Amino acid sequence: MTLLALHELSKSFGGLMAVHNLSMAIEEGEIVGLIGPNGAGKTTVFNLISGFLRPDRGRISFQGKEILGLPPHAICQMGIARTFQIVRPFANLTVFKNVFIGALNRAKDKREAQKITCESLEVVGLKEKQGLLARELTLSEQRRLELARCLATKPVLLLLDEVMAGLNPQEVEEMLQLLRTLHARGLTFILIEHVMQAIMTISHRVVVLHHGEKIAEGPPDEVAEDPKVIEAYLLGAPKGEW
Amino acid sequence: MSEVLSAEVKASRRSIGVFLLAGLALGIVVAFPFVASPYALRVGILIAYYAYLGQAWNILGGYTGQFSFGHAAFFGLGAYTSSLLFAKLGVTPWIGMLAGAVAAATMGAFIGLLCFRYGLRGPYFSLATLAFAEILRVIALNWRAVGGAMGVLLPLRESFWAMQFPEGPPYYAIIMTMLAGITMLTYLLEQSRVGAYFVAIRESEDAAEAIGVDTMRYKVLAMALSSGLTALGGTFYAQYFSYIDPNLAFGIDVSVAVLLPVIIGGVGTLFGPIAGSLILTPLGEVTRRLLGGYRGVHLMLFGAILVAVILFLPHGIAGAIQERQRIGRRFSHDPPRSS
Amino acid sequence: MRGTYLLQAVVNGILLGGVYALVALGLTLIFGVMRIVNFAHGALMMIGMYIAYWIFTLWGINPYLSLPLTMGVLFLLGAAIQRFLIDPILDAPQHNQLLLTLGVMLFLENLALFLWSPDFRTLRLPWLEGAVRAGFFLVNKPRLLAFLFALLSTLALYLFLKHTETGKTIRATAQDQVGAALVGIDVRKVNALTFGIGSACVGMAGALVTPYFYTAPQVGHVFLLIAFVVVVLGGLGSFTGALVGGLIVGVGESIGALLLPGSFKELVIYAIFVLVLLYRPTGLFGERYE
Repeated sequence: MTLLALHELSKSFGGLMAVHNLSMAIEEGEIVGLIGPNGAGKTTVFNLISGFLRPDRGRISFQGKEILGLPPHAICQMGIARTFQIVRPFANLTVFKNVFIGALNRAKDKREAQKITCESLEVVGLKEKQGLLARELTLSEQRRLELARCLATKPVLLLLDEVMAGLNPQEVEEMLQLLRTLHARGLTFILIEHVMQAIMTISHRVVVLHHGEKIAEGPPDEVAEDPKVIEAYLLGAPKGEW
Repeated sequence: MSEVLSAEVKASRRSIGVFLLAGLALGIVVAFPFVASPYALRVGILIAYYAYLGQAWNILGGYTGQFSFGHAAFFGLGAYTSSLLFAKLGVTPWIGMLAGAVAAATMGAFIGLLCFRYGLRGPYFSLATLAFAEILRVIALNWRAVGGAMGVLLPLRESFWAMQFPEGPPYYAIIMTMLAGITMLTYLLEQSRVGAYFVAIRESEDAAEAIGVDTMRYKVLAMALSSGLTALGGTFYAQYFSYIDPNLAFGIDVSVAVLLPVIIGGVGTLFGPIAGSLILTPLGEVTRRLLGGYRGVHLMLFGAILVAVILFLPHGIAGAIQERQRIGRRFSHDPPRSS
Repeated sequence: MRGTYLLQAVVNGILLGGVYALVALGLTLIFGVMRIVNFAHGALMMIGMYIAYWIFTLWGINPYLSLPLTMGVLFLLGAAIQRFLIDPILDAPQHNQLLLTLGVMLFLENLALFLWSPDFRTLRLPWLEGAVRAGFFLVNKPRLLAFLFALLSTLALYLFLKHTETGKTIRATAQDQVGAALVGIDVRKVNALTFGIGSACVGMAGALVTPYFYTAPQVGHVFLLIAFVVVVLGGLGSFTGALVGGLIVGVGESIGALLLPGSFKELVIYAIFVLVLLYRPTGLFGERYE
């Protein structure tokens, strides 16, 4: 069943096309990687889905309902949660409280929210750190905290924006393990990632964006061989992560 | 095992200590009007009064992170509403107070809606609130019906109904009740869902929005709450001093006086405004008394203290104490607090 | 007849606007480089006014001749404020910087109150009294002089920023503090220099208005609020914006005073302010700033 459908989305900033005529569908239970060179418009797509930006044209539906024009908090309440490329923890609050506020999204009362918070912290492995302030965590821990905060809102679909950036290989492995666990519990994911090794192993399907347009889509190993994709990356990415 | 035990003992000792301290404070507060000289009582009233105003500002500025530099707008609205209702229509200030609070809360919500709708943040929000306060000041200054530059002199009618008393104790009781009430309210807010949303907005508006917090709604709510409560302080001022004019009610000095104790005491902390007022108000009174011939010395001192606090104690006094406690807890293997 | 009044008001407004522009320039320069909204700006102007006043009262040297001294003192005062008070907290949240300058304002204003009492003081220059006739208009002499001085110094500041090595350094720092540090610019020095120049500007404006405006400890409030309006109207951090904004506010106030009773003219200014904040917080010439 189609969970999320983007239909001919376009968004430009002062004449610059960030996303152009993008259509894609996400099936329930999928892990979809959204990749492309820097400036391809990936984060803009997340901002459009999560309601932080309004598209110039196009439609977005989630579970068959039109969500275009809803503010971000309403979209979150419908079951889409996101992380930010640059982490935005509630820096001066405890780890527990960070997640607790996310849990209030669905919890009926405090006790339920506390239960959800504990579960979420358990899943991401931050249970021991719950008394610390968010600003005292390492970057890797802050990313997991942000994930826990998202999970606490009880989402159906998670949009993860470079959750593996800046992590060392072991931490990347742990993150992948975590995502697999969550997937096994029935969550659907869209991932933006620069760590290619990681995204290629975990994604069922990847969508490649270049200059705001979809240039390829399919299983990871097929897309990796696509000449258009290789060309885009050779021209666009100085990093040579392939 | 022994570690856990000792931590528990420590915790229970600490709570006994806190209990005793709270009891002692309550005793002092209750006994004070019976033993204090009229002058000391006046200082006590002013301490509670500035602490009250600080608490009202703190809900918006400290907990929700929206730095208003124009709380004089709401203070003045409260003072003018109750005073005019009393002076012109004979309505008791007890009712006028509530009317003023409703008016200020409505105004606050309106200003909030406007500012937040257009995405004003940080210094832009501060400047906008400052401008609204100035607009009200200019209107009050030029509007004959509300007294113009002459302001409003309350008719002297000493009675409970008129909220005017020949001596200090009743005023003391009123402002102490108001302070206790707002402190309790802030405490409950800290524990509540709404309070959690407020601090989330302060820490990161985008992140709060992303996890389902209707930031617009809660910012406007904080604005209305803080404005309405500030207005109650305005009525108290008018009743206590029996006179208000556009500058006393809407001037920049008021906006500064409202936020000063909070910054000194600790932004976004429960006892910060009280601590700040406990330090600033007596200090101001003493310097004024000793150096009465030289005007402005106490405000000069306040300015210097403000600068020093920002430089050396950016979280204020209560903030610094909290931080020390927190670090102390971490190293004493206490179980982490659950919220 | 009505039309003449209106034109006269416009002329007065332009003269007024020149001074507003000079006040606002200092504010916008400081904001542009350090992203600091300086609440002490009006207080610095007040200090400039008192310096000019006392030099005249004690030694009989008129405010125009004492300008270099006034500006020098203000430059040092501003640079010191930046170096010792603001520099240590440049990385702190923005509202802390705002509060710090508020503290400086409180301190300076009440220092003046303590030293010189709340009396309104004015200074008389007999040779400057009266007005010159220019065509249909009467132009008040001290206002004209203030305007010309303001215009000249604005031009000088513009050329300085545009063409000197130091000026270019300041502009580079305004673009990007971190980048400037990376290419070897001593950012702290530039910050102190900028705050000094901004303070000298407003001190000069203060000295220039003393022949026709009262001097008092809280006189800065009036100009501070107007400077905020001008700067927000023109765009925080924009040089041209401050100039154009100053003229618009000056003319607006002048016409408002003609048409509206009492001090309602101020309402016009604040109304412009709120509208600009709401509809175009980046001002007429400002860039997007978050």
